[in-house]
Amino acid sequence: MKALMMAGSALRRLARDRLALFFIVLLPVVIIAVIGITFGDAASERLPVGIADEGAGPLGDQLRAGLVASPALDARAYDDPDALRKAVRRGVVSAGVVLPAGYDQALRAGRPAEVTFVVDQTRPAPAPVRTAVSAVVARQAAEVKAARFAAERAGVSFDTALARARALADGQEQVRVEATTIGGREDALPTGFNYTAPANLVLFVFITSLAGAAGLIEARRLGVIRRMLATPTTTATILFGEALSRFAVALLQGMIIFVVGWLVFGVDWGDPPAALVLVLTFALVGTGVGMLLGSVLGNAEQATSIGPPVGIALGMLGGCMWPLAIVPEPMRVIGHLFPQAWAMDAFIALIAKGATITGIALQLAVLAAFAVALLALATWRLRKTLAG
Amino acid sequence: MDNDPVLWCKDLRKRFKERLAVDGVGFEVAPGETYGLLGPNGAGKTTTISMICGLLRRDGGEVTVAGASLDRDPGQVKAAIGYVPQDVALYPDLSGLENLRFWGRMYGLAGRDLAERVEATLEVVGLTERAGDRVADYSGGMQRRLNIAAGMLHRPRLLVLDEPTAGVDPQSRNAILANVEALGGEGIAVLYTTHYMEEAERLCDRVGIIDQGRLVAEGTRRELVARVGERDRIELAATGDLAGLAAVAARVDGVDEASVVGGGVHLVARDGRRLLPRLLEAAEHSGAEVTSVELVEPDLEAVFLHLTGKALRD
Ligand SMILES: Nc1ncnc2c1ncn2[C@@H]1O[C@H](COP(=O)(O)OP(=O)(O)OP(=O)(O)O)[C@@H](O)[C@H]1O
Ligand SMILES: [Mg+2]
Repeated sequence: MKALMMAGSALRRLARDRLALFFIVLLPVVIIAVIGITFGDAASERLPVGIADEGAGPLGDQLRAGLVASPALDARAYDDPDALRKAVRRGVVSAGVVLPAGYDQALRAGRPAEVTFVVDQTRPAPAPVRTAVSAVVARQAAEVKAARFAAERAGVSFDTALARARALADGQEQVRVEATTIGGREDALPTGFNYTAPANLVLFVFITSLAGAAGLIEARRLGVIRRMLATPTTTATILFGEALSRFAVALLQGMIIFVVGWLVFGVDWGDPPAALVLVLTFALVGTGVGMLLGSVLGNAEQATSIGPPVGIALGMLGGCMWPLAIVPEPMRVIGHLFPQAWAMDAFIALIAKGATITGIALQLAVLAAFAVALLALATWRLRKTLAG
Repeated sequence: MDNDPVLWCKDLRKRFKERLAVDGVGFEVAPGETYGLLGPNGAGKTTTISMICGLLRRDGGEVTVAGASLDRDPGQVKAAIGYVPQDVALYPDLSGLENLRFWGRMYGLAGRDLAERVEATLEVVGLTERAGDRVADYSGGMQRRLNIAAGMLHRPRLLVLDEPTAGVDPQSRNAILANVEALGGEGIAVLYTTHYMEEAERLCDRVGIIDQGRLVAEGTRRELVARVGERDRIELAATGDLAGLAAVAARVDGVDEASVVGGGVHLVARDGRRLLPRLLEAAEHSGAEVTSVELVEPDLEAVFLHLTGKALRD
């Protein structure tokens, strides 16, 4: 069948687009991992850690800020590595971190850079300290990697790319801090990976779908769609094939996050069939969004550049950055104008409240309605532009 | 049956808001015939072709391809046509091979048949060695050749080529023209648009001249030229009694003017090709020796100028 063939071809093209693969596969997993690890089990007491900066530069400052901000750590500054080692030996701090000179330049240049972790051999540092420090370091490594990748591929400056990568991770971080301060309501909310995995699934599937409109816009601009219309293939089949291409990508990303969340991060998705139906339905919403955007925008760059900011903004409103249970009523109402909020409600019901498919029927129905409306609108627009 | 036209269209009309882009165009293309639509930018060539290929709604007119009506059997009509768009329409991030497989499947080819056709077509357009490379890495000329290949895969009865040589280097251009010439030999009907007079003259059995949405004249090159009534110019280079040669030549039936120009004699004649033998025979007795003969026939450029009062290209 031609529509399937078109979707297959779209996936093959995607498999060659390393930047797209990075955003679709790697980034969500990295973000879930880092945020989940850093704020998985909020430590009750902060453990003292010493920091000595040998002139590591701006990225060194960022790393230090990360350590200072880490809720598990009580970071203290030392003038030089020797003073730091002495403090570790005497047990004043449970471990130390030395930020070497040239750290910033090395990372920017793509060379490996090492921060030294100082411990007393007779008294190993407590596990939470190791975890928290390596999480902060891992996060910076991921951000730098992302930024270097984006800077090379997309031609933005390293600093712009880095700022973007940090913003993506940042918004979500505050979340976890806030979520753990609410106390009373928490029993109804999933914590740790059980929140970050579905939140990022919803966030990323939507962003990917927005950006995925670029493929349709390109196909229109290149005259490929027109050429398809000259083959013995009906307009309906062509539109179905294009929709199927977007759906395949959205579903693929949703399933990757689903499976990785389950196997690697131990996420309990609740009733598995219900969760799968939910992922599928949300992928359909993404398909509709991609097709509609692809029918109205004039060039592909518009789609790829509005994807992340719009996706993040709607993610904030829709409860992907912090649970809507903690926001004031009006914000919750506004949030439910967008599909993200309904999807998050359904995931939270499945994960934290043990709901089955009937328990999320309303959310599924609303999401299906979003999908149908978006797809109908997109089909109508595309048919109009293609008919000439 | 064999001599029924592959393409038959009549009274095609299309209006874009205020602009009448195509206004009553109709013609036929026979099997093995190459038909050229010759006209300047904006004449309505692409619009005409788009309507024939079912890509553009018609305001009026009929199209029949290989016996099927576009209104009743659009699928059958499209299956019989190989459409090569004016601008390269391929996936730049797929290889040439993958593109051809894709387009072959869109035309309903599959399996062994698809593989064989892809291989053969790559050979025809001379891209076998680059088949595995991404189309984005092809030169402009190579992209154009692949663009044509994608339209020939399914052995269409009618191949529609919209300015396939626009903006192409001379080498690729020659390759493309040779491909098109070969197609006519295989019995494929070709509809070819161009605003290059030389291409229409070289390739096309018949030419339709289109201007401002109207077919202003149609026929073989000779018919068109004759219709305009332009006379040929014959340039004789000669030694000896040039004035005598001119006088003798002027008395040959069909020669309207004869004058000595430089080292020879220039004649203005009707149907110069036919009277050349008589002319040379007469020259034998003139006291001058003819060393070379050049016949300059009026070309389609002159025809276009005559019909529309303007040059084909500005
Ligand atoms: N989609 C459209 N909307 C409005 N006007 C159009 C459209 N397509 C073509 N036209 C107009 O119709 C006329 C014929 O255009 P067409 O593209 O058929 O010319 P053409 O002979 O193919 O020219 P070229 O040699 O430049 O390709 C032009 O005046 C053009 O501006
Ligand atoms: Mg044109």
